[in-house]
Amino acid sequence: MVAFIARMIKKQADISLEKGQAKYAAYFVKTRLYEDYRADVNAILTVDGYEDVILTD
Amino acid sequence: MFIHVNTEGVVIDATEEKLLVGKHPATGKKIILKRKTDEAIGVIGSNDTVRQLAKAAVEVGFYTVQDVIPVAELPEDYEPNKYVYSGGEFSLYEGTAPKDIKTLTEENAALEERADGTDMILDDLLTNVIPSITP
Repeated sequence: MVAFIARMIKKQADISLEKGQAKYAAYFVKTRLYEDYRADVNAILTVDGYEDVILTD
Repeated sequence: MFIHVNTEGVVIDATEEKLLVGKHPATGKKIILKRKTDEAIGVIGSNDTVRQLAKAAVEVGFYTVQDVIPVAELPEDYEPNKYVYSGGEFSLYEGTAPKDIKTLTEENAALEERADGTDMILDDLLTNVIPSITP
């Protein structure tokens, strides 16, 4: 699940920063359903150089 | 006439022109090459000595091949992957025809496309459908 979410966010971020942030928001800002995965997804995004898409609430 | 055989001796192609065995510069797989110029290629065998010569050749196919062998004629009902060539003779190949790299590449691309479609469906479920029905 963590890998999937990270992949979906990175895929959009490769198109544009805005799309990446929108996807991040769809998973972690607009809903709390996937909060348990957030820290690990953030870690992947950071390691892979996508830290700019990480949003704070 | 020249036949192209794989490591099992299965005749996977036949050509009028003498094509040659080389190595794909990226994958290292043996591939079929065509001479760019006679001077550039020289004599090519089916072993690793062709590596340095492949750069000067024109790549014409992606299927792997062990050797290119001159033959006088093909069986009348020749089809790719139907015969084994061994000891100077053709015999019917009883095994399953191997897939060439081009076919595998196309199949892989189709699978990736299907996987992308599945990803999109799951992504939509997770970000739209499930949040909308979850209190």
